[in-house]
Amino acid sequence: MLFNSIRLSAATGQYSIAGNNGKLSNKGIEASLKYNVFRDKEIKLQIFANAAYNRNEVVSIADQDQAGNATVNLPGYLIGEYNLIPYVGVNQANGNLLYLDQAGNVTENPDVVADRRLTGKSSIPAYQGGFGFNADYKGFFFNTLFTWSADFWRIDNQLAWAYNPDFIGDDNVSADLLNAWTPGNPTNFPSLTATNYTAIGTTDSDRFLYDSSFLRLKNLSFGYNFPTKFLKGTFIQSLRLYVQGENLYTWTKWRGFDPESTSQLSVTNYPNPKTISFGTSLRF
Amino acid sequence: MKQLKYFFGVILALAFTSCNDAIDVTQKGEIDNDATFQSVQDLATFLNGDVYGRLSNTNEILFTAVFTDECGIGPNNGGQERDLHQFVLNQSTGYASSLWASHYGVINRVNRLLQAAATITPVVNDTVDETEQYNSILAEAKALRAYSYFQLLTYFSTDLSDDSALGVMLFEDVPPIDVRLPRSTNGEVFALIESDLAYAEANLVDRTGATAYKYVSANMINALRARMYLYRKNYTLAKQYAQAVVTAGPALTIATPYVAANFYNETTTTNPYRRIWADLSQGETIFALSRPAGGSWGNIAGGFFFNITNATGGAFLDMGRNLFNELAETSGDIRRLAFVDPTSLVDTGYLTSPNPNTSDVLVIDKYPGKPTQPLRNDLKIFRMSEMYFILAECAVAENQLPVAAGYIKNIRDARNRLSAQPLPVYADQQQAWADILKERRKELCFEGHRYIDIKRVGPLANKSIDRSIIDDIILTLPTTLPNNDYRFTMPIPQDEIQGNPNIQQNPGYN
Repeated sequence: MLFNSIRLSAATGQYSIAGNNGKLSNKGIEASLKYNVFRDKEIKLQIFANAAYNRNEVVSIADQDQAGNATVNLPGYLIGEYNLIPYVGVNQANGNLLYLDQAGNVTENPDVVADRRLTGKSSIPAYQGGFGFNADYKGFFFNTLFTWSADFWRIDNQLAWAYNPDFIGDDNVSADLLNAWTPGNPTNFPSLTATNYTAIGTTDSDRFLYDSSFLRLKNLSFGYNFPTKFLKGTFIQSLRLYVQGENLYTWTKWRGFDPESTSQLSVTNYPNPKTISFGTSLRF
Repeated sequence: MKQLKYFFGVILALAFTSCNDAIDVTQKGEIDNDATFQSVQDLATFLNGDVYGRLSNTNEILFTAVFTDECGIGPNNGGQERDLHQFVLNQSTGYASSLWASHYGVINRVNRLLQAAATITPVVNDTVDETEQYNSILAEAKALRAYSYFQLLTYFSTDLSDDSALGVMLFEDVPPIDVRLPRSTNGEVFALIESDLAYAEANLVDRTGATAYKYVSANMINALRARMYLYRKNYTLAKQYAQAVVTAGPALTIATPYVAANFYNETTTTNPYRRIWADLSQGETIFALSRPAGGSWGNIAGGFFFNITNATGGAFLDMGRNLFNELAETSGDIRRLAFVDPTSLVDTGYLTSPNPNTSDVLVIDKYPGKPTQPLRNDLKIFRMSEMYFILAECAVAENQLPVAAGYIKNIRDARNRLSAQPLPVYADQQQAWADILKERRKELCFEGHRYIDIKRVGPLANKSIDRSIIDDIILTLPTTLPNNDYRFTMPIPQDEIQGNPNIQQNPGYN
């Protein structure tokens, strides 16, 4: 079942109500592998990897008009599939933004409802996984975990704010604005005074729709377990020293704060922090 | 074996027993219609809280201010209203959606009130008689429903003077959740408005006291009729009802005494005209929606400012330059002072300024705020000046140009703190329409009139949106729209279309 926002006529006093109005299917496979390379008393090394593929599809939905929505739920398509006007670049004659209309013609003034099209993209990753190793040598240990997600797309409205020419002089903006189109500098970044800049919003076109795929070094820990013979005669049963880091490095094309999120917009997502911790673990 | 059969029997019996009590449960404290409406007092409470409390013309005021020529882009604009100011108006425009929903919310609640009232009998005994109160509650509710229907028609009907043109969705019941109504014609909607107002007039008991003007009154009903018949070009009835309000209502508020030292003080100003806008006196107001300082209410000036109504208060919209020039053209015009904050930066060289957006900041002060709520003011719905404008328009339509000129002089005299104003002389009807349109612009700015005024009177006066080139940040944009532009009727919002496939869109919008 699909728990959803069901559209109503304003005659009811509101535009929508929450309820069940469709069916969703999720199909996929998951695999998990582990291999112990060494299993001696002195040296241990285990490598592991897992991966999952999931494809969701809206099976049925109560009849309703979703034209003009930035994301739609249509039978046979992804849930929350982006429905956006293709942005194709800058009009080199005047610096205005160019889009494609429904017929595939380049236009400066697309229809905000009629010229949207399904993108085949959603904010839910089709592929996800992780891999890493756990190593042990004479009391020293070294563990890693990498995670990754692929084939999911999000609207980077954080970037849209940073690209807003109205903020120049008031707020921090992207240095990309320095390269905006002018008659003497015909670039592919819209003119700061483009006359159709405000007509198409951030969630109307695919200008800010970016691939959020990433590979991340999620966890790394290194440390030493003191052998019990050192501790004999003390009140301590075991002693362990370690240093551990989280979210240390990320490989991604995503320009926003954090690609690891499945929300459709990037603003108001608190990013995963990079943390490094040192520790001692004592048992007695 | 027998026991086993018995056992399976019990299992079977249980399997076929559904447990409706798990989903049909009535929770303790659940508030349904029966619990809400038990007495006449409950009806009165509902009327105050969910009908008066919902009713607002904020969307109309802000949409009109931005889309026409009342606003320029302010110095602190970070993109707010830029698209609408650049004439981007389509079915996704927020004000179309919120204006539609706001008034249908009121209509839905009035219908609920009427439905509930049918189940309640007013108490009549030796000590109490609730009949009058009960009837008056229904009268107020119906008058407010009529106002909401009229607001919807004003913005969403292509032509108010054509009864067969498409109007809006019409219903008098509490509609089911899957209601999908097509649009009725203007004539059908006007029929309900007229019958609601007739009922209201017959059953209303005018409230008394200093705040009575914040509720439906006989004057409010007639003012609504006068405006409605004017928009419908039924000048005979418009004149009749406007005259009734002029006779029975408050006088035009005058511009004196003017004391510069206290003029802008929001609690001690002695200027009667400024006191209207600071919510200190009723003045010439016929009907206003109360927006008290306490409680969570909409803040009308929040549509122009982030923080407070002065030059450094985060003005993302300011006053359009041409409107300011008109307010400033006559010496002694109190509106130049009352509608423009004293912290404004007035740059006389605005046309050649390298950055007019920050050198010429005309701070809107029609809504100066309340002492503890700097962005909040009562919403003035009907004022006496409008009745004079209605009479003037009726006179022009009857080709009595000197009569029309007299009404315009009445307004100009009342609004000037220094001297009486000359009687205007109109060579022809077009000149008269143009002068009325101009005076309406000055008097009724930021009250949600300009959009419909240009649509109605613009073609007769050969005038349309009149912006200065510096009103936008981009100095190459169009400053007006032709009178026959489809955007002088609002689009049916996409939000309605999605929930209601039977609704018809207005021409020009997809």
